[in-house]
Amino acid sequence: MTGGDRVFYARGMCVRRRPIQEPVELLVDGERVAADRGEPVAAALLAAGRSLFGRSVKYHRPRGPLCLEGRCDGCLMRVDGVPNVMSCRVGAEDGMRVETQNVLGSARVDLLAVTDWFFPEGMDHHHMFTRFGPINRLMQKVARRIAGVGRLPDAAASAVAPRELDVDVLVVGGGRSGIVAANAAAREGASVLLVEEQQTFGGEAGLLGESVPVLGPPVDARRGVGAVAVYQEPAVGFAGREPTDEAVRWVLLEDAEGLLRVRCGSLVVATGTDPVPPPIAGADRPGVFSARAALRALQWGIAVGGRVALVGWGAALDRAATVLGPEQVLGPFAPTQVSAVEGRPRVEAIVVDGRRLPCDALVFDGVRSAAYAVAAQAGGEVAWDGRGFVVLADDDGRTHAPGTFALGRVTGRLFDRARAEAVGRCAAKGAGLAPSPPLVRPPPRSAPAPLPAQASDKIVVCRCEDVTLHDLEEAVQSGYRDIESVKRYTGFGTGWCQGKQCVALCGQMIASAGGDDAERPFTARPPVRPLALARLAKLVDEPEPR
Amino acid sequence: MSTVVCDPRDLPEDADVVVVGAGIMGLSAAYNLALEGVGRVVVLDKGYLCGGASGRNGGGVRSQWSSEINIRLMKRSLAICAEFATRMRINVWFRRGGYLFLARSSERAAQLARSVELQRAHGLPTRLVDAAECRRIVPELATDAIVVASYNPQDAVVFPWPFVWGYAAACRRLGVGIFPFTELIGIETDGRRVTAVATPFGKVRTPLVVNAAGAWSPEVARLVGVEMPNRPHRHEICATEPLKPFLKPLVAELATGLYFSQSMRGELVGGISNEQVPEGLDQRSSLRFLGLYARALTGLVPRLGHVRVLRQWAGCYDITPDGSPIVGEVDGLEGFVLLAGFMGHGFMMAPIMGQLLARYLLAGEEAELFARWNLRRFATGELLQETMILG
Repeated sequence: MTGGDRVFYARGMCVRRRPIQEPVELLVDGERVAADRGEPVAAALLAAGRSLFGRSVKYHRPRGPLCLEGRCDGCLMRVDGVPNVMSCRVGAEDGMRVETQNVLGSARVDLLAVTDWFFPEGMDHHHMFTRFGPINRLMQKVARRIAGVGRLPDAAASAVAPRELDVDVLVVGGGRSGIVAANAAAREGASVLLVEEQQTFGGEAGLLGESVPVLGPPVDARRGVGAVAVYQEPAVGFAGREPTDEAVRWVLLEDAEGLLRVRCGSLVVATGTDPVPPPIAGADRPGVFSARAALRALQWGIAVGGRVALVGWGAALDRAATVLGPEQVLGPFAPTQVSAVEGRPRVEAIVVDGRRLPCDALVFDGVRSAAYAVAAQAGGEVAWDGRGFVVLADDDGRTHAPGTFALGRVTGRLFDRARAEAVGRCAAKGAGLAPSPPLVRPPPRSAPAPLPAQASDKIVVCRCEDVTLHDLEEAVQSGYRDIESVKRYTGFGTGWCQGKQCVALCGQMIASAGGDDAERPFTARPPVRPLALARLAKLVDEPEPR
Repeated sequence: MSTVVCDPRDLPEDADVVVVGAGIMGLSAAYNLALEGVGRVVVLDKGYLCGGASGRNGGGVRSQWSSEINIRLMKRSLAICAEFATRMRINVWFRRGGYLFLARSSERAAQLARSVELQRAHGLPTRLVDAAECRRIVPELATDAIVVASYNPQDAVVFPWPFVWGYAAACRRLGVGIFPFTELIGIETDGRRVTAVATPFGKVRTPLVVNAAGAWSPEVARLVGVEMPNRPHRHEICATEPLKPFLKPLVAELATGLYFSQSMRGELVGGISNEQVPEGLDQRSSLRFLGLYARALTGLVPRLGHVRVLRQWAGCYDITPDGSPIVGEVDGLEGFVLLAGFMGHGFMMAPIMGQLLARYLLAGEEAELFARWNLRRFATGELLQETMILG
């Protein structure tokens, strides 16, 4: 992508920069929407000028896609009778039925949005309406009726048996670090499987237009395959597997067809980072995108806005500015300069140093959270490095878990070809390596970030569960000072992304509000991403007791 | 706003009672002791509030049991739960959606029939229902394999965490000191009776220690040389993405130990028996569990196939050899009281058990129960029986 590819955007609309190749029609809430066969449904909707995809779980605040990488709650819709589908993850097909969820009325006029208005300071759901029994019971009845997001699926799903794989080295993450490590391991003669969750290899470097190492031929490299969990247990009753007495490490992968159950000698984690949305009032509304999302959308041929405010810093943000073009962008502004993101429902302006600047999208980057879940589930240690949580690894990539390696930005380090090759060679030598040597501890936490200025609107710090900064502060004031307790008391990190987007920020905010320094994040529970029950139903084949 | 939990550096030097374990059992005991007038009550926990089984269970509260004593106690516990929100001023999302126990074999059906008869004799509205009625209660249920079911519309589910916070806050209002992250490292005696407990933050002199440490209670007892026969066993649970409410009761199936309910947030929360779990304080998740659970759940409710699991976790059941709790004094050691061994249902028992323990210790009430459930039964061989245990 070069500057010459720039297009002119109609103001306030996302626009296709490529004509549709294979036209199909989606049925979106009963209306026909043009799409290109196979492109993400979310992309087709954005291109059709739709930014409001649904409503948030608690306050029914407007939501739209934020990450376009299958991490956030922003693009959830009902697709062909299946609820809560991440519409950035499914390819458009002719006649596909796409429906808005969690609204009473329409997405635009959702009567339940009165909740947001009724609780301007946020909702103390622990203590509200507890004075009188009858009122309490009535409140619970109402709360139950409006709970949940999607309706039950229309029909049953057929169960799919998992596929089995055994490899010497499994590399999770097909960015530069993962590719170089996989190639190096293959050169040592190991059988290597490399999986990349997104549809393109190269990770962030690919999005930035930087050169991406070429994958060597012996590596079995698969796109669109994500790691969903890591377990350590004996194989008892596992369909298609010899039973084992000893605990074995199982990595569960998922592709478009179903699950792959993998036994590997070495696990190499190169999962990179996730962007963390800045804690700004109103920044949870549609039209706010991560810089990576903006670049991904451009790869799909779609610009996220006509006049885009940039907030934060970093290479991806710079790249987004370049590709969108200087006429289209404002900023970049420091997150602390921005006191509010305004608009109804999508972004219409941001307030910078007290001045209201009209725009129709906000693109952010800056704080990143290491995508540590796979490494943590494998037994790797995760710690605070002053900016976020990272996986602890030595120079050869060894983590605290024998046979599990980590490299690249998930460890808080930049790409380093020589180091990635060393890690690949080490992984190829197998899991028989001595347990990891003592690792250098990261530096102690630097001074906590200043809390954002008081704003009239809610500052949503956990989008999936509508948890506000105020909620975190209240938990700390009640004496729940550690990250596990605050998670439970507020519910942050318990939604679709399981904390991928918010745990680093919340860790910092808890400390700023007077709580404990979070030395590690809350337990990374499986699965790494939502996993359909039908795909799990044939993992075990022993007879079921009657 | 005063904080609910205390800083370990503020640990007092003296207490009238030290409760070990700030789970719902320990907090319920502490609250009721303070309510009955005990002045200085201290609760210690080695981790955070809700870190043990109280924060890891499925939130089921039922009176459908197979023994008279459990039926009687759970009726009273349910009554406390129903009033908890307004009494303690915290929402626990108590919802009487009922419990539907399914039987898929004639043996299980006979077992249910016996329990229903006993429950009805104790005034419960439990009834046996056929497959067609099961489908009326839960229209999404695949009922072809169901022989019969028992249904009590008065049984309920709650959200477990606020119970713990609610007891903690109420304890605080009564002056009880709750000390999380304060591990018990020793219990001192004069050879005949308890005199103090030791923590990394100092000693607390006390004549009375209540061991409410659940799956960790044998470890606590071992600090004073008392051997308890209960053992920890991992039990796993998972939660799905939130769905609009469709499921009224908690549904359970006796043969597989499957149970599931829909929480106030709309998630399906449930678990299943896993016979392959060895004894031990293991709180890791397993793939085998997900496989067993997904197979059983989608078999019973095929429309859930597309529904996604968001999170799985594990906690420890506190398993006794005869399925009944271990409560009351320990012969030969004055001032050491047990309140443990509640299998997988300590959470639902805690509201009533805390109350009974306080009245037993202070006024000698319910002596018969505390004798029957005493540790000494394992020495004398007078074991008990309860068959309606899930998981």
